Amino acid sequence: MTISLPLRRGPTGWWVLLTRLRFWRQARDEGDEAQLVAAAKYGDPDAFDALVERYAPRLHAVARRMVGDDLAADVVQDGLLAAFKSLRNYRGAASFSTYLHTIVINRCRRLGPKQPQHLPLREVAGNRPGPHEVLEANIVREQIDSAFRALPDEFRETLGLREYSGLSYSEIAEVLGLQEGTVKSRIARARRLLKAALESAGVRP
Amino acid sequence: MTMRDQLSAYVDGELTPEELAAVEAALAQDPELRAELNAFKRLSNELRVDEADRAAADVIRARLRRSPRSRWGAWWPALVPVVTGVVVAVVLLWPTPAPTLTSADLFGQYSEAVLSLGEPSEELNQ
Repeated sequence: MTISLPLRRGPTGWWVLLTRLRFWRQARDEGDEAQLVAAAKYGDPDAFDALVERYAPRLHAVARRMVGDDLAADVVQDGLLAAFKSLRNYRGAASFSTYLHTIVINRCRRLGPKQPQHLPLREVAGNRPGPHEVLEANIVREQIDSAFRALPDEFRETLGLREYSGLSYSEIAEVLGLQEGTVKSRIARARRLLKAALESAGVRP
Repeated sequence: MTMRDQLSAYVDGELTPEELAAVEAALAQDPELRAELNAFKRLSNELRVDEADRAAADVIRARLRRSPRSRWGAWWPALVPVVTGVVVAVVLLWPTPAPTLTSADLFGQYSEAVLSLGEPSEELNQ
């Protein structure tokens, strides 16, 4: 992704900036990410808001599975704020998605060892009010979510970035500082672990 | 890299054309592999951003809109013409200080005064 900015601030530079503002507004409406990032760099609050709207759900989904429901929102908010404060240093070498995820994942990791986030699978299934009260699909989804949260950290974060955030293997490798081959084998291992955990709890994925 | 590892990458569309051909050939022959592929696909469908994430994201967004940085971002363009106006007003209305007289100025004024008197009269010379 290349972002070109009117860095020169002579009369021509200001004219270019004014012209760009029109394009930024248009980009904001059309959702062009590179232009949104450029506009956010210049302090446009609507561009900043559009980027938050785009990324916050995915970031929260990953953070929630790493640090738990109680801390996830604070971690993501803190990460987004830090990302936008240092936005001037972002040169577009990595994708903006990778940039944001790296900041949030590092914050999740800094929180250290997590407390258990959930009940074991069998208890979750046993504590349900009853099949007549809740749709079966929701129970299965909850069990899958619970099994996902029980995965070891390295598998949870790798598979989480793939499933919840939709990052490619190369982007995940960049966020986590791994080789792409390691990402590939971790994701495969995480899926097998998840499948085995569900099968042992009597859930057929 | 085992065929099962490749199967996971197949779900994600991360295989090279050669790997893709090998996995599809294996899938055509192995029903267990096909069952595993279906399980991976179902898991992948279930692991997604849910309502709780979207609701939390709305809260985060609202909080960030109220953050000082966002407020600054919202206000700074409005400040540009105000600050420019103030600077121009100060430059135009600033009181000009009375010029200080130097010795050269005083000599010039003295000379002009003497010359304006004209030639001294004969009576005064006597």
